[in-house]
Amino acid sequence: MKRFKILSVFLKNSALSLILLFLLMSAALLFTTQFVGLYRYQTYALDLFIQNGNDRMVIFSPSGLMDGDLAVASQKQEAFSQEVESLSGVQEVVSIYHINDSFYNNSAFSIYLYDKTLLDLFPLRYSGFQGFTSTGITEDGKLQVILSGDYFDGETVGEPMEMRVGGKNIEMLPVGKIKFPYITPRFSISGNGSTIPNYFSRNELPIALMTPETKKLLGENVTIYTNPSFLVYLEEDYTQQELEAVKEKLSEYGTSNTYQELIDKTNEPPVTNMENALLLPLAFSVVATIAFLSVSILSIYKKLDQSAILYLCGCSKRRSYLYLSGILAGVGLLAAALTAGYITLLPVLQHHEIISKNMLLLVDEKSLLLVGIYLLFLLLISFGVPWLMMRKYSPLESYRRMER
Amino acid sequence: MKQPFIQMREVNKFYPLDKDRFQALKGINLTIEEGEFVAIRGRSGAGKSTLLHILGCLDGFDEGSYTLNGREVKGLGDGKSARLRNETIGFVLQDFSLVDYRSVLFNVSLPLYFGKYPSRKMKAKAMEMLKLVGLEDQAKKKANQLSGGQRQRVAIARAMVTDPKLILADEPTGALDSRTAGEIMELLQTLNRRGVTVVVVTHDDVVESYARRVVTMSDGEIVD
Repeated sequence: MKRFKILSVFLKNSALSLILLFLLMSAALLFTTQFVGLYRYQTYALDLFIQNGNDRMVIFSPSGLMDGDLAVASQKQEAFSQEVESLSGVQEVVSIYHINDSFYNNSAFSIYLYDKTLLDLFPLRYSGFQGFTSTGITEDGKLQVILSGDYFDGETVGEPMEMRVGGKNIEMLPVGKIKFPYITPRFSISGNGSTIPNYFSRNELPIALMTPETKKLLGENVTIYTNPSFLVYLEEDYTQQELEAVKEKLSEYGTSNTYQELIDKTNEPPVTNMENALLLPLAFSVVATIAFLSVSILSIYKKLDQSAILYLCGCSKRRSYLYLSGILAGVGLLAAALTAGYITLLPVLQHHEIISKNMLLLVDEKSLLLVGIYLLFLLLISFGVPWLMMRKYSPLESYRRMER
Repeated sequence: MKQPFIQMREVNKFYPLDKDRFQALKGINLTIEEGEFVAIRGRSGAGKSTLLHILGCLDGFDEGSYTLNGREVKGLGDGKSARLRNETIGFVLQDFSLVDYRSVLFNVSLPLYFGKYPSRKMKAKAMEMLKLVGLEDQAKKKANQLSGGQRQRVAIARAMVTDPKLILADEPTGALDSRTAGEIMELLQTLNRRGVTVVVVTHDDVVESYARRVVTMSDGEIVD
């Protein structure tokens, strides 16, 4: 109780500066979260690819659709991928498929169908994933799906749900969800100049396994389209000549990049979109940090007079320092709590479009670690500024200044 | 033989000055018995305030020794020095050094927050001190609502609240008119008659006249 009363000596008449400090620190933390989140989003796909990919991968990107009619283009695409798969040195061609004629709660949603190899190669940010059966269908005939997107927040993993596909109701069983911000393989890019984020992007839809059983369940009335790009997975002991032959084959309809080539292209400067997107939050973060530092110095400087009075009354310099740094650190922790609330509520805020869904952030363990390090830096300022100020202006010097 | 209340021996104090150093106190030898009322006089820059700050454990010194109430002060850490100030010394300064936006009662009770005084008795103790200086009816007012003389009385009440043995006053009447200055000095004299040792730094002859002993300083030395 005594300590709080003494703290009030420093806090009283300081509402404005404390609010300003809180706003600046919150701004610094929020902009840093923005920057880190954007950076992580941009590099998540790169990380996913680098960590899980290997030099047996070649990604194909067609120069355009193989036909004006989507269904015909899919068939040609499928035929072409089978030709590639038959080449020496090729273990498998991994494609992504999708269905368009599907509705959830009267809203149109595509359903993606992944080869099992794709899910094995690129483990995603799952929540409660129970795994697929080998057929992708439960024993009682439900289509197993992974749900991606906050539209499906009302569905529970393990509890059946329904979608209307090709004019008929299909019962489904969610076996897992993808965590925010719902980044999954897409392979819908065509044309040259592709980078890794083009192949892995935000998708809010159900994902099922591509098997003969799931195709049968979905029905003959449903058209399954093949996404334009695909991944060629080479045999373990492929030769250079086999690789060259695969690339030459792929060049008939588009371009191809090996694992390393795609990484290099993604890392090539200038990555204009990424730099432009990151520059603004980074600049705001730096400005807010400098402003916080300046206001901290001014606020502590103004409080040195009170510190001098307490010194006369028997308050040690150490105790004064703890009060002053405690105030700044307290502001910091409040700002951190606000930021934590923002991070927690971000999916909800985006779901209700209070914050735009175009703000592509990924706040995962890595980005939280980076934000945590930045928070420690701000707390270092909170403890460092009073220490430096009290070293420079001892209570006696503050008192002499008051005298003058 | 009883040890003097304050004993300084060959105390030197230096301040850094560019690449050299300036000697603010030169070989100070000072003895003050308990219950004395001493005035330290001298022109501006003589080192009076520097000496007072050392007496009050607000500042350290470089050479020599200083014992206060039988305790060697040199080498005391920040915490012990603060406790010594809190328990033994009260300060009355020219600018009053009050927390302007807090109440008179809070200002008087401030030193009690840093000691072991029980919280439930603090208010009563502070009121007792305000009665002593005749300001018990001003307890709830903010410090900056009082006149200069009243504020200095509050400062004296605060200085006395921990029952210290020593009051150090640095130009306590510097900001006051002559009539109010007289009232303040009489109050200090009253405290002295109750057994409190009072050391006043001043360059005012009238203030000096209240003291029983005058110590004269010049250029960092005691000359008389």
